[in-house]
Amino acid sequence: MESAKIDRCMNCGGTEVTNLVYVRTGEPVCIFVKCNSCGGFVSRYVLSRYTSDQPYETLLRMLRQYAYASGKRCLEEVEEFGQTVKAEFERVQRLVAETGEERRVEELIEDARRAEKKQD
Amino acid sequence: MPVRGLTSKNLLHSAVALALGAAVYLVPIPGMPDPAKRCLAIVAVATWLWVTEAIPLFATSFLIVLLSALFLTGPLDIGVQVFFAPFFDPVIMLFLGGFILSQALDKYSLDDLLARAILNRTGAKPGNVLFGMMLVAAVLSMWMSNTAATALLVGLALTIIRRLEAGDPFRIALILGIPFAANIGGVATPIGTPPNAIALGILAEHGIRLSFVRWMAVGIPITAAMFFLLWWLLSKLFPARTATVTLPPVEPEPLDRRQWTVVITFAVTVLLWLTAELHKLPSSVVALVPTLVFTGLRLLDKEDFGRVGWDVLILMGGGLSLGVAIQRSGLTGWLMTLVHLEGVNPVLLTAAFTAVAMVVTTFISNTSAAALLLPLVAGLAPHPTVPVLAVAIGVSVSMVLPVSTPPNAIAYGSGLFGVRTMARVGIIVSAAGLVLVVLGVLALTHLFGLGR
Ligand SMILES: [Zn+2]
Repeated sequence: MESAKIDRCMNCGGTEVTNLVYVRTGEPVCIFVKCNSCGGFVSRYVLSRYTSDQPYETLLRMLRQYAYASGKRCLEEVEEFGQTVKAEFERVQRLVAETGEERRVEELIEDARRAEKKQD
Repeated sequence: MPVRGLTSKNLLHSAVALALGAAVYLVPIPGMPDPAKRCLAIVAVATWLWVTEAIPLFATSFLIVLLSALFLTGPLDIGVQVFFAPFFDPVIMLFLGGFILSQALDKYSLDDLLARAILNRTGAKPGNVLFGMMLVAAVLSMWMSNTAATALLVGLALTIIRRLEAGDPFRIALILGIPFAANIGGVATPIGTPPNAIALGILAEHGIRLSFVRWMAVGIPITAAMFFLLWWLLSKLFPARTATVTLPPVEPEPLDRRQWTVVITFAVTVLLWLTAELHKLPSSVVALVPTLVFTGLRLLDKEDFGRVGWDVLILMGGGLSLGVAIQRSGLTGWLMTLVHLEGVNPVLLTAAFTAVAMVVTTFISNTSAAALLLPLVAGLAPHPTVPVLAVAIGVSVSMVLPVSTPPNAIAYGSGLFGVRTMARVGIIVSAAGLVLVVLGVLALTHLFGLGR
């Protein structure tokens, strides 16, 4: 299953939002999404990995914990990394436009999980 | 999502590897004992897979053990433990200790702090900044993975590069200097890069034990000579257009208790490694100190421990296991009946081995090149220490293409230079490396009485 939707304020239906990035030592980074129209809380995301508009720098940060044996493999990963992020961004925008997704985010997550179980 | 491993190309290469092994075994070779032939077939399979990387490098290690267990234990009448044991060889344990140190240095930002401390003192002259960047890359890669050291330094260099104008050649000096210095720094210590450990393991297999400090006695002068040469070359080829370059200053913060624990453990470990000849503790046992302190005190948790380069350790284990197979099967013994190297000039012999190894490793991983070539070199050379050290160091200082080493690949990812630029500098550095490594290893082993 695959889908994408625009995060929307449940309070006023607004889609203009602001991301507040919350960083603490020893805790995963959280992003609080705030509605620009009514100022209400829209959602909270817990981050497993961050990629900026400079994917190469994100990759460098990741590679600081790694030891590679293969130059070939390392080069493949370096080249793929930026492209993957860019390609995914474009795909997501297309999905949003095409699917007109109506389900709530938690329903989407639940459906994705169910679909994964079926595959196993 | 495409299934990356399961492409028809990879499957084909895997099939070719096995067919090649079978062909090598079936082709009649007069006078070759059966176990040696079986081993040659295994070497052929491993070579094909390590060159094509149709399966991950470390997966080939498992295949080596499987094939050795299936086809060598019977004819040689030995148990499988002979082929499993190298995976927990003392040099693997030593390397694990190195990885653990590396993880702790990165987790507690000590690599970053050291880098900034040195770079705060270089001033703003471009030549000095380049020197500082390269120095940190070389020093860190002596103790950390070359990949990790390069990733850190390239990240810092980008903050400088962004402040330079787009056409300034000095940007190339910085972005090439870092991976090359990291490659060079790796040869300075036994834990600097995997080929070093494979060399130590293979020499030990031949009854030659080289201490940590003796490796460094050979490694450090070669690293230093190549470092200065590289710095001079990059300064000449890519002179800065500006008189000063600046790194945004960072206020140093005092270290917290956990950072001090890492620093002290690191210092104690290195001190014990360097003084091993006095206290007689093997370096692999000393490597348990950081491993135990960092995991025991939970400075590194389960996730950190999982991120240790296990695949690299398995790859090295496979290399050592293949070395055991090559020696035990009588493959080198049989090769020696064909090739007589006793009378050959040792300088020429070492130069020839090293040159071949450096060409091979331009296209395949340094570690697999070392794993394939070092057992043969050690078996064939009348006095293995010199050629083994030269080949092990040679594969690390061969750095022509982006695929040659992981640091090269990382720097190439910046998009700041093309393959030709890297190759132009890389060929000069590698050629000079060949000369420096061969002469350096010969002179230094002679000087320190390690020649046998
Ligand atoms: Zn709202």
